[in-house]
Amino acid sequence: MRIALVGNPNVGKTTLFNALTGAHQEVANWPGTTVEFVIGKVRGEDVELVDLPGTYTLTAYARDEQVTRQFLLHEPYDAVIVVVNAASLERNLFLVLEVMELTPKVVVALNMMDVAHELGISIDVGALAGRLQIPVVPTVASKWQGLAELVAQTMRVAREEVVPLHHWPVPYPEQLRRWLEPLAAELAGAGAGLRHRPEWMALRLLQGDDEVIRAVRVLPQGHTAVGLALSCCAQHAGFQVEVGGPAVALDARVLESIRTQQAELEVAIADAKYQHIAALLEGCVRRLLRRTKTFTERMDQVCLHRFWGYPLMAAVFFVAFWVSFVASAPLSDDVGNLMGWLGQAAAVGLGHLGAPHWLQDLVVDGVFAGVGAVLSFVPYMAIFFAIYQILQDSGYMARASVLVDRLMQLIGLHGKGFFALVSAYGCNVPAMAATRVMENHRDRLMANLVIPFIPCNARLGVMAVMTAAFFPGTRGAFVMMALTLISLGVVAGAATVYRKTVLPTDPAPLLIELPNYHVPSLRNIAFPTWHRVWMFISRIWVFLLWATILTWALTYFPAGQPVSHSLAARIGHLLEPVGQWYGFDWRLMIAIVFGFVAKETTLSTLGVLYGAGTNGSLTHLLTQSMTPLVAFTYLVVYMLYVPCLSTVIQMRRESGSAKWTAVGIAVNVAVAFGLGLLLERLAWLFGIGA
Amino acid sequence: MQTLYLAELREQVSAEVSGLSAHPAFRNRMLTLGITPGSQVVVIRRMPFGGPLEIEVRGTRLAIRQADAAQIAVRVKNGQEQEAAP
Ligand SMILES: Nc1nc2c(ncn2[C@@H]2O[C@H](COP(=O)(O)OP(=O)(O)O)[C@@H](O)[C@H]2O)c(=O)[nH]1
Ligand SMILES: [Mg+2]
Repeated sequence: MRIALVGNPNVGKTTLFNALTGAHQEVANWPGTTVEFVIGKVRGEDVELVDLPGTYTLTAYARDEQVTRQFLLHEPYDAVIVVVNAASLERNLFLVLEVMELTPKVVVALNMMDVAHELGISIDVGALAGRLQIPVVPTVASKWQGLAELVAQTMRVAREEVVPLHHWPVPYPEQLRRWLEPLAAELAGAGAGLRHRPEWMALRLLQGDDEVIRAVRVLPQGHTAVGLALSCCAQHAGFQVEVGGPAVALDARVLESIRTQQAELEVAIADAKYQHIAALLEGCVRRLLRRTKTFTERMDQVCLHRFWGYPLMAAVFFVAFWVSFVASAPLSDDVGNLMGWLGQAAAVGLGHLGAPHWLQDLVVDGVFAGVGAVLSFVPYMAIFFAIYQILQDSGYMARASVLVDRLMQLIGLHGKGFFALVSAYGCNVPAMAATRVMENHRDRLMANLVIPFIPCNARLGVMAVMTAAFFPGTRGAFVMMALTLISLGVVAGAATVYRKTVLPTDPAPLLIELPNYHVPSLRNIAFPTWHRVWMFISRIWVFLLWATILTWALTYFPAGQPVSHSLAARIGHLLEPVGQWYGFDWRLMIAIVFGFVAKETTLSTLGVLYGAGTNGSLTHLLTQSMTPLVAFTYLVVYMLYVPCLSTVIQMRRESGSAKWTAVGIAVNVAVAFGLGLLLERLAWLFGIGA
Repeated sequence: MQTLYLAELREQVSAEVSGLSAHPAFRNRMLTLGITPGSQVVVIRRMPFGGPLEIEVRGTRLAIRQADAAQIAVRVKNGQEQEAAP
């Protein structure tokens, strides 16, 4: 048995899902998209529960929301639980009515009853259920209240052989019925293979739903129905159109006015639903007149204050990032040290067993270093995702998006992308995952394409060391500042160019709900955090391990030779002609190439290549071998070119497209080396650092 | 009765929606969030520098961009009229 869980965003679906299923969960991807939904088993019952993405309607345009519709249209299920927010019933019942038009097997979970009570809203649940003619169960998902009753009612609905409702769940006004009823009758007779209720199909046809039109066309008598729907619209617009006929050929003018009619009908149908909701709630819901402001209102007076909102947001984000970088850094170091130590121990063990030197070396610098590289991501990611989830669930993220929307629009992005972009300074990989808050696929893609231009913690670390070496004192601060400004400029420039060329849409119109503030629950934080970290680790470890082993092999072989004669050096010499343009020697080129595996390793790679330690400190050796100008160019190139293997894999996953990932990488490399060259030439022109 | 655009509406003044934007995806979003012709809206506050507006419709609070709000026509009741666009 299978039950689908649907509802508006933030109504408590996931809380309810977690309460009902416990730890038995698996995450699935909707085919062909990056949209996820979670499947779990209800405790003590042989029932599968599916937590679908939040949606306001089954007619949505955004991809995530469409997944919910696609599921309800094409997947098998025995009942649907529509979770609604009791504190915002009027809006929430809209989706209930839409689902009821599609299937009679609906149960309403009237969640957040505690919030409604606090707000002085009292609901006559029995009367509401009676009017809706479906079970309505009051719940408080966060306190596990009402769950048993909800499961019982759902099982009853699921088991029951429900006879398709012969009436329309929404009593549409006469002027709509005049068209809907004959159309539904026509559809009912259109032949076998009608997959959904004719009433629902009729509603969608009248509004010009392309997917439904295509589905109806393939039916034996489908053309007549499609023609009928079109002629209804045409008639309404004052044209006479021949009904029937296999293909209704219409001239552009008629088509245009049919579109307008469909839009008008969409408004009329939505309006009728809201009228019906008002009638349903009349006398069922009472609101005490309140004198005091609600908690959310009082919070928003500060959080959305036109002045104080900004410093407050800066403080919240500062704490969020401080905790995720600074608190996780020692943990990451510990993980790295532990891996190093284990590697050494393993090598000693292998030595005792008489293993050859290369094998010991492989274990230490290849295998354990690779595993260490993977695991060192874990503390940062776990803390970051937990904080991200807290900001989301508490309702603060929606406010922050509103505060920065205007600013983000300047670079053609959405306010919701702000957190992702800022967090990219920590690590690009989770930042790409954080772009999911944006509903529009193109906006997400765009954010994913520009995020690699933002230097992450690892890159900033390498940049800081090199800057300190070449530009001591105050000059260093200016250089770091210049680098940051260059990266900001490139992000803004790239975003604008992408918008103007390959992703030509305005950022999706912003119309978001500002949900009530909630204290997030531990379960709701822990599960998605664990899931995201695990997804990353399971996807990345093979690549990172092999890449580390490969770089090890390239510097190790031919065995017994110094690094300057290794395979890596040969590759470096091959790349030297490119490097010459910039004044980079083969060692710098190799460090760029190997930095792709993990940016953290750049300093140690340079150390090995320059023979730091025996020949003096790395900073000394670096300053000996290049001018500050070359160093600056190197920093710019290093900051902007493809971040690392993990980022590329994450980008592939988040964009859902190998093609876009390739485009992103190509643009990265081109911009990095192009800009580097430009800077070098300009400096040469002005005679700096010659 | 005075007709103006939502973007111009003064804060805390209740108005009735009379016309929606023509952008199909956006119209769909407005309708499903309850911004239908005849519904009551109130502007709660505005973000600085021409940022989004916070509005209340059917008991829920929404944020909408200035530019998008400039496409929604609203009617203000007699006695609540305001001067030309601020
Ligand atoms: N007070 C209260 N809070 C709830 C209730 N159900 C969920 N929440 C909180 O509401 C927020 C959003 O819940 P979530 O399950 O993530 O909503 P979803 O977007 O529908 O999956 C979380 O912070 C929950 O802890 C409830 O019945 N009462
Ligand atoms: Mg959820």
